[in-house]
Amino acid sequence: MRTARLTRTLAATTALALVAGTAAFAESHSMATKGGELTVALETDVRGFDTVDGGVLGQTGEIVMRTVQEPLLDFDPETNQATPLLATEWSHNDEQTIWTFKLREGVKYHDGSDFDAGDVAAHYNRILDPANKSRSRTFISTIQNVVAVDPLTVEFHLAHPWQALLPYLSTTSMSGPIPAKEAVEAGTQNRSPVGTGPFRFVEWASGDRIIVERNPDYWNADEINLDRITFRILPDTQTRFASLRSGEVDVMWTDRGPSIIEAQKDKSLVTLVSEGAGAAINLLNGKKEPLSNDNLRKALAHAWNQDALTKISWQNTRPSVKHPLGPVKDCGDANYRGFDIAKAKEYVQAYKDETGATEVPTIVMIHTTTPRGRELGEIYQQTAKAAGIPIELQPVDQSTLVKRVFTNDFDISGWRFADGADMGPQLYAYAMPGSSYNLTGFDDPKLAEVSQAMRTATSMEERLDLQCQMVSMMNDDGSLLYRGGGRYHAFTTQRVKGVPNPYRGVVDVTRAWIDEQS
Amino acid sequence: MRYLLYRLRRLAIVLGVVTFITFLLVNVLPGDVAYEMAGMDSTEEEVQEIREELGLNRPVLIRYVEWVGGVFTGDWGTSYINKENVWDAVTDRFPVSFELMLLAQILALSMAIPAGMASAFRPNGRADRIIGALAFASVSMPSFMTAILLIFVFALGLGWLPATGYEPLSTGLWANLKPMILPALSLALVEWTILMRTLRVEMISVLQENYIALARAKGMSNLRILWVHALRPSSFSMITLLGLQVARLLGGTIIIEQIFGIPGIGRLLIHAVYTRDFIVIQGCVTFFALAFVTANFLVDVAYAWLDPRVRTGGSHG
Amino acid sequence: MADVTSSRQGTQTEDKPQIDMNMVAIAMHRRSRRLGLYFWIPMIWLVIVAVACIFAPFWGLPPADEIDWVYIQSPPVEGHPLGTDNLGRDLLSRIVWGGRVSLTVGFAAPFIGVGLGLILGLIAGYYRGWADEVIGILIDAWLAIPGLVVLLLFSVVFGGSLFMVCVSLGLLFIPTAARITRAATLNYAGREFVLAAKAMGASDFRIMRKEIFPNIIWPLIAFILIDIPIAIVIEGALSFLGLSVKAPTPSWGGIIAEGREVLSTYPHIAMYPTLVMFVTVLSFNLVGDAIRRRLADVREGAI
Repeated sequence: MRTARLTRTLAATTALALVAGTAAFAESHSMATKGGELTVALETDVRGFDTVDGGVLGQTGEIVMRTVQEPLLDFDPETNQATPLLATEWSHNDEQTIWTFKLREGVKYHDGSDFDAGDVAAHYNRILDPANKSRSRTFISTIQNVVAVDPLTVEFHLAHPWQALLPYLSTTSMSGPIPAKEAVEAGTQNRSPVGTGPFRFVEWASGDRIIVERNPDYWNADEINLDRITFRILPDTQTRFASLRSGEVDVMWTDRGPSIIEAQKDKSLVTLVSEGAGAAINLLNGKKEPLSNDNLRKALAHAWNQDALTKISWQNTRPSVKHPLGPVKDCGDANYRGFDIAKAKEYVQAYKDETGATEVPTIVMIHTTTPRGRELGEIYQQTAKAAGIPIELQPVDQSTLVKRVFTNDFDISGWRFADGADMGPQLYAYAMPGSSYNLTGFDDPKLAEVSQAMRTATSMEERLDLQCQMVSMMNDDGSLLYRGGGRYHAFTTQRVKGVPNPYRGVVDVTRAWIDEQS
Repeated sequence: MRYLLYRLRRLAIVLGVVTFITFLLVNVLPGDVAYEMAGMDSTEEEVQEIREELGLNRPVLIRYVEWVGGVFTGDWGTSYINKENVWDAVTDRFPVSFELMLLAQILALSMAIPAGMASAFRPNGRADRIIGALAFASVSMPSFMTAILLIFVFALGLGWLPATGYEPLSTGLWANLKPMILPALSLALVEWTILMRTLRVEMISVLQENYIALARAKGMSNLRILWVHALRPSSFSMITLLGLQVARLLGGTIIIEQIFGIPGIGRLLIHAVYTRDFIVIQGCVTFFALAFVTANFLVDVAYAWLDPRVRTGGSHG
Repeated sequence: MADVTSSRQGTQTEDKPQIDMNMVAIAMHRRSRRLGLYFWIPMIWLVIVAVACIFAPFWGLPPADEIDWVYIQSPPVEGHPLGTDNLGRDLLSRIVWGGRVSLTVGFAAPFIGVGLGLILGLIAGYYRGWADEVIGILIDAWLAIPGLVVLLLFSVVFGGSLFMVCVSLGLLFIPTAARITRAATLNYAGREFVLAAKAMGASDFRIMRKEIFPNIIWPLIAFILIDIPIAIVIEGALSFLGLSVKAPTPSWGGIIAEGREVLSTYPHIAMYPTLVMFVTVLSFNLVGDAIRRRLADVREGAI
């Protein structure tokens, strides 16, 4: 299944990426040279490897996590199907409420202990225990408990049919990777992780680097080539890019438009691209004045120019989207409210007629102090001004922004739909009245009904159709505005081979090798 | 001795005031670490739970007293964000920043001494004026811009030196020094002017001394006079300045570390500020203050040793 | 940023030996008495910059936050003499409006710092005793926290407004200003004319205002002159870190930071503001230096 993943063709990427990307994949895995070291530049430090203590990992954290720990399943982005990893086969009962997984035999943790069903059950039950306050729990709370039937068989008991189970078991961003029970109990997992992965954790100097080395006892050791991988944490985009160009690092992750464009032009670098789900968004707060007014919200929706932002800020390195479900699903027009100043003005007029106001009150937009955040605010301010809506910008840093959004202290804020193998749980949390993640104040019984139906849908197709319906209703409301969909870029130097495209933004360097000739 | 004890007591009070001011400042920071820990995908209730767990809901004063108690027992706390021990984090990063600063000072000195001597030799002569103009120019260039231009030219353009990074000394001296040259240079290009001016002024007056005139009369070469006879007596203020700048420069490396991706204490601090990891901010500032206070005390000791009058007198400030 | 602050330590010590009565120094003195080209050329530049910034609304420039959708990251074209930035905003307009921020901070911060430092220093130097002790400790404590850390924390707590940037930057200048004032006050507080005023029953406030203040103002003016370019540079560093005035208000450091991302493809965006900032700071340094020498002369002649 690994080879299938490595040699898969690239769907829906730019022509440039096609040329550059396939070059890396055309070479079959057997050509790989063993040995060598790789240096990967990451944007942020990892918070910790333990899913309860460390919380949810960002894309950069996942890159490291993938080398050390593994989840039960892998996910093939091309077919959108789960594939075997630590679990080799699985089945479910007719009601789809009990899922049974057979585990791979002879897998050992880095500390020498055996991987078995007890580890899996202990891991999931720990997350599901409300007393542990795991951040992953809300997302997988449909799982009621996990039972180790015998050392190589484990059962997942669900509250209702749930199509998101397999995607969530394969995620590396939170609950997916299975740690060794002993390391978790000893409390060392968070800062020195023990897993079954192809690389063993060696050292972590916070804010500087994380080093892993080859695990000679890996169950699939033949596929692993590198001796050692160093992850260097370089938060500054320019610094990261300069390091790649001057050769101090071999692989770089970035999402800044100008750097991507420049790197794509650079013939000495290899571009890796992948399309994904999720989207950067603007939240319009319908929970309080003045945006609780539908007309004003819709006016702002039409005054938002997604195309301009993707062009200027992302430099077209991310697509404009009409829904956050990614390329797996075509929802048609989905009631998307496009940039249209004339329509925005109509809605502004309707607002004035309705409320009797002569002026539109100043709307407060919070954004981060990063270049990305500033550009976002400055562009929206200009286009809204054209529609006659004054926006006041308030730059805040990330943690303040999160706080203000949660405490309902904003009118407009930048936000994101995280990319997920299945977007259902996120959409559900956004749309349900009373959900504490319903940040924009959706309060539509019809939407709630569709959301419930989506959650318990018994087939993936039905689930996705219902997700489209949800998105259409949310788009119509005008409180979620997209500012670029999911497309991810990573860059490597020529000598690095065997790195697949960054699925969901996660660069998988576990199977890479160094080819000094090129 | 009494004087030194007095100074010691005062510096202890200063340390107390610094840590308390920081504690207050850090605790009024908007946004808090609980939101940072919870991240974007969590709920308000989860955030409140985290706050409760960390004890962030208790009064500031009580937390301060607890923290001070911890410091005295060697427990500087653990980072909220990544659970790293703060003392370890600070002492891991400090040598990196210290090395950067030391290199910057060495580079600055190696520019300042020849330039200062050349200037002092004929005040207002051609060399003096050119050096003076250069000094003005180089002090007028913000160090962040110098850094960007240096990377652009020497790392990306010519490819002589790496653009970023840090290698521990264990990987070899040259491997360790190579990535440090550009960042040290960015700092030194501002620092050298101060040292140069100090040296120049002092050397001008030293060169008026009789024994220099005597040396000249003996037909000694100018170079020899400058290096052998004039440099040492002229460099007292410069050396004092050098010592004082050590603590100050530690703070000045923040932007440079950010641009060059050097894992020093400045980067630790800026990251902590952005994430509201206030226990780390507190640790860093305390460490900075400790360095500053120690440097000051050493200067005091040196003065007391050099000048017996200080030992008994009460003058300070 | 903070690395420049200590230039004052160097330059201050520089003055004293120059005043020493020896031949070379006197010769130097005579030369420096004239305000040469080193003064006038930078002065002209500063006047140009000041006029451009103060009267910015009258030059018919496009608004600094207006996006020209046709020209994005454009090199100089008709209508945009210096080209446009990442968002298609007129670069010349942004530099001019950004100059208002830099100059405001450059002048306001040292005055705020020196003002507060003056009060503290006067109190410490005049009353001595425990007031002196307490102020001394506070100042030492303030010095022990690196300047940029103070700025970082302040800008996060109060950030965003020009006023707060000026105040938090001004706070950095307090310790030195207070020390200079204290030393000068100590020097004058024991002089005959102060003692005479005291004997005549003048209030402390009156003595400080009428007798001491006029005498200690000169070193403080010199200090302000040194601090103006420093304040401009630090503001640039803050903007560079995204911690100064809020968007879309332009500032030099901010434009440089924005342009840095496209330095190799569109170098003009970062280079023009860098150039303007560099020349302006240099001019302030040169003019300040010339004026300080003059002040030294005047004082020398008066005594």
